[in-house]
Amino acid sequence: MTRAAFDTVIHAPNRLQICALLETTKELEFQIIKEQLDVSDSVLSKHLKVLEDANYIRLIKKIEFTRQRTWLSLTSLGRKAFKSHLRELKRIVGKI
Amino acid sequence: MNNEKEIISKEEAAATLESLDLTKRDAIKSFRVPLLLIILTSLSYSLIVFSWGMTEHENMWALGMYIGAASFGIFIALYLYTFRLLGIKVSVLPRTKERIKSEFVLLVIFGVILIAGRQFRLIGFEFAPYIAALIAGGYMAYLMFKYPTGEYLTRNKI
Repeated sequence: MTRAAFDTVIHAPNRLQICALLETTKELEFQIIKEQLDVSDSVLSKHLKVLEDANYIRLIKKIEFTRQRTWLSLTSLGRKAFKSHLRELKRIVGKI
Repeated sequence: MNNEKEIISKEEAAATLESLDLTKRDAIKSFRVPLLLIILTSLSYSLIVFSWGMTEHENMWALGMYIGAASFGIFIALYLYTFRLLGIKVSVLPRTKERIKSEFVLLVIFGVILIAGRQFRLIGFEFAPYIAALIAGGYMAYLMFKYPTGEYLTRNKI
């Protein structure tokens, strides 16, 4: 076992997966992340709130094509935190 | 692994990296736009490369270049619009160092193909524009299929 310099905000599996998804593009809609993670609206909202409070993600609500859409993106702080988390995981595995 | 845990085994870390890798790859797969759009975009780019290779004062291939450029622009706009409808916004300009590097490499590759297609024909190799168009179009289609959002993912899997 290794004591890691983990960021507990990002360490939870769902939140880690959210960051991984957001890393693949500029912005993703709430619905897409929900489908990819296969979680309920409330569970996803709870995780997003934690990430938003830590200033790791940005939430923008817009009305597009006559319906409200919530767009999510990683902030530069979130991107940095996710990358350092990955680095830490790789260090534990012995890849770095 | 729970939310507050700060101690993690090597196996857990490896499993997490693997699951992250899988999540990204599954997401990228599901983000792909229709194959027809990829083919049309690549064909219009091939037309630009081919027309540039064949253009002379005495022929009309410059027109092919303009048609290719216009249709390429339209298909790219359609590509981005399709993504937006799906709930994905793709960054047109690179935001990370890795992406700047990879975009620069691609710019050089596509530039070399474009110039080589014309220059080789001018020194007597007549089939050069055909080959350049084939390579450029094929490579463009491969990139759009493999990296639909333009992000070049590094493998985390052990």
